[in-house]
Amino acid sequence: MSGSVVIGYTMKKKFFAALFAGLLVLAAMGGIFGITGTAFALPLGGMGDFHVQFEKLEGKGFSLMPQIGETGDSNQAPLVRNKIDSATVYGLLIYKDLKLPTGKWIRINIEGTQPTTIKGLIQDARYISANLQFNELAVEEHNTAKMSAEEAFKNNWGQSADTVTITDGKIVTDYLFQNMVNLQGAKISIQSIDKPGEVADSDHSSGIAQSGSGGDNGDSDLGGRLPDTASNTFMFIAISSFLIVLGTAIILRKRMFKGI
Amino acid sequence: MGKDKAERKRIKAEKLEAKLQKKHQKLENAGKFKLWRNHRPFWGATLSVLAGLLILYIPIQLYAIAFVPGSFAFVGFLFGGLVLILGVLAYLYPQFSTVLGVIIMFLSILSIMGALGGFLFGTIFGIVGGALCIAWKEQEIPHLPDQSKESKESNHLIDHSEVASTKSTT
Repeated sequence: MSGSVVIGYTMKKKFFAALFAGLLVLAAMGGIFGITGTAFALPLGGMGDFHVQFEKLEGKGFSLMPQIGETGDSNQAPLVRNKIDSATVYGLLIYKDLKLPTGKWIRINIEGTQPTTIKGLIQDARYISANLQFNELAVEEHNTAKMSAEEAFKNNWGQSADTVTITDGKIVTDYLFQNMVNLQGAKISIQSIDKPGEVADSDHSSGIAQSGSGGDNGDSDLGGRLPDTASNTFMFIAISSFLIVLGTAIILRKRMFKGI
Repeated sequence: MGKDKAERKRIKAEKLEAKLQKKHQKLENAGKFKLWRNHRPFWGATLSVLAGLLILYIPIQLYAIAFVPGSFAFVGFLFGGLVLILGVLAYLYPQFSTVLGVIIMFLSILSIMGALGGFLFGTIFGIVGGALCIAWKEQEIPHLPDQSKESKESNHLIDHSEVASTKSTT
């Protein structure tokens, strides 16, 4: 029987070329984020609790209202939703404790050494400890008699202010969204800890040292100091360079091995 | 030098044809699903659909604010949804796999804004799936009859003719 048939297959060379190009663009984007320290539409949610601490926050367009949301250990927990149109944060530290599949705990720290600018901040918190100063504060209550229990909880009262200044803030948050965040001089590090810590002490360094004191990892012996290599520029450029080298090695592997 | 290059090209083409003939022989006894899979960039489309779902995970968690005017969370819905739709289109329109693959890769990378790239896993799957779609191709090869089948058929014919001749003689 004569004739022809059609067979579908993947061209290896074209695949690796496309993959390399894609990874290169991804690396370039990561590099730009690292160098400028600016990220857009950055959501952090669906990952459980994380802790936010800062020395001072100056915000405009503040509003606060009750909220029901998901936390690390509950599907529906009472929270407080804060919305700030624009904010400048000094001495920002965000950290999250994660349990690895091996059972060990690690803490991911993001520290801003320079003032951080945020636009369109929305945050659901289950614990707030801070000194607050408002300008033109209004507290309003609304008629929620005809609403369901959940809607009534969310809409019954609210608080708004033109400007807000928050000092020595410690927040445990489960939901964080920022339309635009500019994190200049960010230091990102990962450290090994014995167990997830509660809200850290006022002295950030002693808090970290306390939770890491029993660890064998050298990082915990730094006494709360972040390692020198924990900078956004270094990390993103290192990751980008690794991806470029990997892509080049994959493309040129035959030539490298055959010596052509 | 030119002859060597031409020779290498010819050897490469022969190797490819042999590989495709081998694949064709496997497909001759294959089921409907495998035959259906052969005519489309199956793994590329599957990875793209998976990437779309992963990218959509975070905007879905943020649905409360996604539709607020001016909210960038909607962007995450847009990118994740588009990657998912393009992955499905790659199943339905394999002839456009190259274009679909390019767009899937582009959107997967951009999804870092608005959807954290599905915790980066969606971005990586989208890039690999898009690359597989770009690299997928259909090739027509001559249908070579199966040697073992032919000899069975010819033996069968011989048996019939022998029987016929013995019948005629008796």
